[in-house]
Amino acid sequence: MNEFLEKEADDLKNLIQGRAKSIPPLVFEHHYEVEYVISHGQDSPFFAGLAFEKLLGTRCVSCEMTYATPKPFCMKCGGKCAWVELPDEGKIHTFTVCHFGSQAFLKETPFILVLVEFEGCGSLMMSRLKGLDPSKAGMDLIGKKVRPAFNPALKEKLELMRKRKIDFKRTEILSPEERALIQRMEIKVSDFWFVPDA
Amino acid sequence: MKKKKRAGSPVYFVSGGVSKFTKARLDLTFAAMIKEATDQMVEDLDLPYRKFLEILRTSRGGTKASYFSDHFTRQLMAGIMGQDIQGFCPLPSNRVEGGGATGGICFQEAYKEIASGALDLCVAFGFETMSHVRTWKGNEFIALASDTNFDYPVGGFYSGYYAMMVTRHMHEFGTTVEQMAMVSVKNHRNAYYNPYAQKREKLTVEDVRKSEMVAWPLTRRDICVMSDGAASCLLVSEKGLWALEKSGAKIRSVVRITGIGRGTDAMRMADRPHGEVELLAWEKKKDYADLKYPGVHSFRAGRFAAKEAYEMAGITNPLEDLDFIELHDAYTSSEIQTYEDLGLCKYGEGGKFVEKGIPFLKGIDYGMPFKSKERLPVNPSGGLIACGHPVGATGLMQGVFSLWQMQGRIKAHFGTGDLQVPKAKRGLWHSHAGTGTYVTVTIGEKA
Repeated sequence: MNEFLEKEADDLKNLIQGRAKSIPPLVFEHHYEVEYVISHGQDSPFFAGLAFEKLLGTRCVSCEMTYATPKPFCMKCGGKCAWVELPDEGKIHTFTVCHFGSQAFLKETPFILVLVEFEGCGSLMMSRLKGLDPSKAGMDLIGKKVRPAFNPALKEKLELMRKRKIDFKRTEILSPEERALIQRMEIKVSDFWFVPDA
Repeated sequence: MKKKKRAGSPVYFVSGGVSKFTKARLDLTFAAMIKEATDQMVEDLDLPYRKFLEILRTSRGGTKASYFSDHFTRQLMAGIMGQDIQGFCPLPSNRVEGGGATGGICFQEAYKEIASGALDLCVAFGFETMSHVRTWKGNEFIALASDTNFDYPVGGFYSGYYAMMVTRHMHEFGTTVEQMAMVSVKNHRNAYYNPYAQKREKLTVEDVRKSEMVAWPLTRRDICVMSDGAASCLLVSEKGLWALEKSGAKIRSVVRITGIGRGTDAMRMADRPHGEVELLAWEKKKDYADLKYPGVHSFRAGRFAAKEAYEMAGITNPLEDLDFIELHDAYTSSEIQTYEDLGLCKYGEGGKFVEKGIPFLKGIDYGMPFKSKERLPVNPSGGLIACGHPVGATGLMQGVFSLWQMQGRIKAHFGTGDLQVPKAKRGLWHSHAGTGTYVTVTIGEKA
């Protein structure tokens, strides 16, 4: 037995000292998964707005600069911003057709991304353009009128809340149960997109 | 030239090293890869490594670590692992991060350590190991460097963002995809003579356009690739220079850093303002009477950085005053947009600037005729498009290639002098983070 171990040790010594240089780089795989719990924080009214099929922007209370993608504070003057409804219709400022993308979105390619401008707004809104064959997208898209469309699943979520008698138009503060329900709506910015305005 | 006075001691850039940028560096861990770049930097000073450490320890030496993504490395506090493997402990150090501009920011932070008198020698080292994940996962990681609540969830990723920017540039100014492809031809052809580059190819405009479409109008050959790589730069004060010389270091031509500038812009492209152009000293308001700026077609951060650096270095005509430029061409489109930010031409004329042939090198056959004989070589090394873009190393690599240009040592390092800009005395290098959020401009001059 001892003899066997000694032989093994010799081989090991050889491996490390004599042949170390010829050992190829050894590789390994490491799978890593993580679930984040992230709050939309002060931007939450924008996401709640999507459930009501409304796009909300913000407007600076002191200089009136209007942001199509909500900003809590004005980037021009530092003033506080208040929520405003965006117009029902906007224009394509620029676009691209994505034939590749992040791994999470590869299966959705090709898709069109657009930046949209709204009358009276000093900034833009990024989203998908649906309802148009990506192979038909060309420079003439710039300036075309679009309107937002909303994920129909949001309506169901809203219905559920109405059944639970949550009335958003009510002015008093939401009850703890109501707040908990809304928090679980899981609304994302991808719950709306733009479509060509017929 | 009238220079704007700035407080601070003179800062000299004396040596640099680069690992060969490659798709996957399996033979070394990221830390050992950094050591490889630093070894080259020290060897170029003809100093034994041990002696170099002694100088750092006795003459107020320190370091800055440059890397972008903890996701790619799968290692937090990677900076200290770079520090310890190089024998730099217990010298002061910290990590620097600013997206694609990480390397450029790191270089400038090292500059500030010296200019402020806090240190006399500062090693700026950087790396990225992007091979740790597969390409489209890598794109996802990079996309996390955009607003993850508003832009990423709709399928946003960087090639898509830059594509939207250049689509607007095309609409606004009539820039063409062929002009963009010319940038790709130039940078790949330059890299043909650079052994450190990852993609050394002789291409035609047609090759670029026929290559796979990623995000219209950008094809695979309009876009830089992901890489593993490292780079190191040594910045010193007068005292530091003296300490090196006293210890027997071979100081080749020394480059003095004469200008630094940095600018920023909003993370979301959607939030970019539509205001007035940030004018350079020689520009007039009426030049841009109808231009809404920066919108998504221009990089205000790049313009701001250039303005600061030019004022500090006393540059009033970059085409005359500079001998070459290494700029952040993650996309062919952003190289064209950057010509304009740097004031090499007016806003809107970037496409024509490349078409005229101005950013090409003399003496290299690009397989196409040019209208102008005027030259200011841009990305003589091959840029990011052909060299690769291991993010944290990139801005430092541009510094090293610039140093070698001004030292007249391109042939010594590349084995061939094809890319040497004759009598290169003053150079500019430019580092840029996602959609122009952070941009640095650094100017060096042969002392």
